[in-house]
Amino acid sequence: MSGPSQNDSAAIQHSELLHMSYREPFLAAQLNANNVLDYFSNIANPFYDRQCNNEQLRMQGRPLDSLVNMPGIEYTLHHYQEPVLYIIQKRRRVITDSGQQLEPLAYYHIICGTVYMAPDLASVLNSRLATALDRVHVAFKKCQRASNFDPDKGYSWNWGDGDKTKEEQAKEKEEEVQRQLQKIATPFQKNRVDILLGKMQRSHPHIFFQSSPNKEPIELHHPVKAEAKSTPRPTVRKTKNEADLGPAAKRARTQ
Amino acid sequence: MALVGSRRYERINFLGEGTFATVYKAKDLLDPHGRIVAIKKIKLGDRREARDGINRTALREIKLLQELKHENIIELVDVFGQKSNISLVLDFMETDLADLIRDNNIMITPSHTKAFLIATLRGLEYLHKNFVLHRDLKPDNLLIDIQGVVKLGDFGLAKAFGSPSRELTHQVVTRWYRCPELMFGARQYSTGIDIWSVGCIAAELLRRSALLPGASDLDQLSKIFDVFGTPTQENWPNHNLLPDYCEFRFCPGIPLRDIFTAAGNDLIELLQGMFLLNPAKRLDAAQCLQLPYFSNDPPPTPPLELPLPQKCKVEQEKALKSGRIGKRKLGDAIDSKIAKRLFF
Repeated sequence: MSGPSQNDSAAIQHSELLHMSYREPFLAAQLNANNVLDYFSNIANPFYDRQCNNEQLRMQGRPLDSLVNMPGIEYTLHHYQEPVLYIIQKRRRVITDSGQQLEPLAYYHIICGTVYMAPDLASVLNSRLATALDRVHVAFKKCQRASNFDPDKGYSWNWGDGDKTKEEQAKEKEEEVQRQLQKIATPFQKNRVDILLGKMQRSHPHIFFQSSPNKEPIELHHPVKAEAKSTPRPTVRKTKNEADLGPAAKRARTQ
Repeated sequence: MALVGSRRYERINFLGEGTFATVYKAKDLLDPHGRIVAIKKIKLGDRREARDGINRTALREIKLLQELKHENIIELVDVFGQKSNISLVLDFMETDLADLIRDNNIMITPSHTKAFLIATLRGLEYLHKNFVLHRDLKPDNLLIDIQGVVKLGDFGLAKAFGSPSRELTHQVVTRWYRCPELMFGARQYSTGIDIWSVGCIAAELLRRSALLPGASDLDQLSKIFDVFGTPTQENWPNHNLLPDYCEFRFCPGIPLRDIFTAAGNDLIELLQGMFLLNPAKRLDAAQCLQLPYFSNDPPPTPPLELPLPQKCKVEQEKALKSGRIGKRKLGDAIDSKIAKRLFF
């Protein structure tokens, strides 16, 4: 003879049960060792297998003493410390010719009226390992983010963004980019480059002018030449301060 | 002297007395194992009654049982007359389901329930296939023999059905097991009335008390509708045209899940099929037996392991030891008459 079929409890996975709890607020206050099994047998309790022998007896309106003669799944109060802690055991009773055997299947603890399922060793180990590995994973990720390489200083740690929100982190990233840009060039260097480029442009004026990407470039010879001819004087006059001018200007004059 | 008629049987003791008959336990001297039988001696009553011929229930029983032969139906072994009396020789049955349900020392597990239901439905399937309605199914009429086999008994109200022009009486079936169409006075009915009774018996096996113990006919109807809800035109079209129809206060009914809290979904499905208000939609015995409940776990208990009241259990052990009955071996099928054929 086998125990009652489990087509009800199959709906809820074992692993899901470990993340559940059950509480009946109206009855939770008056729990004691005598009524705790009734409390556990509440139909809404997800841990309670309705096809167990306890429910068979309840349905038939008979006392729970008869459980000793019934093979199958049953619930008993395993241990208690009134008024807070009750431990309920789910077990299978196997009756053979040689005697009875009780196989524990699961334990449930009721603490202050809330029912939890006691996890099995495999689940505990799994969960602990997963937690530990997750921490290590997070730690590695943090280290990766915090390690810095700078050509100047070499490797260094930057623990700045310890526990900051995403927005703050984004803001800091932006600032970081700016800082990096500033490191590339000082304001003085920037200005200097700009000046040099400006001079270069002036001394090497555009020969072609393209008004838009698709149009043919127009040659700008004449106006530039005309300009060059119409301003010989200033260039001559400038020769006095030749030393002030850069090499580009010199080249322009010799052209 | 040949062992015929009453000489074939050796009376053991007196068993009981009903309105129509007295019953004795007897031994069949023709049988090599000394088979135990029950002899039902029909009372003829006074002379005025005797003028009408033999009792109608006895006649029904003789007429129908002679033609019915099935493992789950009580067997009519012999009929003999003695002076002006008539006696029926039937299988001797140790006990009945009502005794079992009432016995507080007995635990009825889901496996037992399933075994009882299978036996009942198989007997009923055979009966209906042969166009016979039992019309009085209740735990008292589900008899159990010494081997634990359940058989339908008491065919005093049984009748052949199937003729559309003939009206049947609605005054049949013990009230607690009577279906709503009979309560409304239906004159034409079919196998649904027996299935409803089986549903009530199943409920009683599960709860160890009657599900619908009506105190009167009206009370019976209100109890039915309290549980299953008042019928509507959708779930039972034209029920209001039945002869004795009367309007009931609306009742939504109770989900069967809340009544049979320890029953699995498959069993609830079976109960729902048997308790459909509309007799045309109600499952028949064959459909019931096809439901997953009967093939799902747990398997039904074999007959010999079924519970019996203490007194019968003792008898059973005695009989087992003496070899008068034996555990049925595998392959020793019920219909062993059919020769097994092997093709190579």
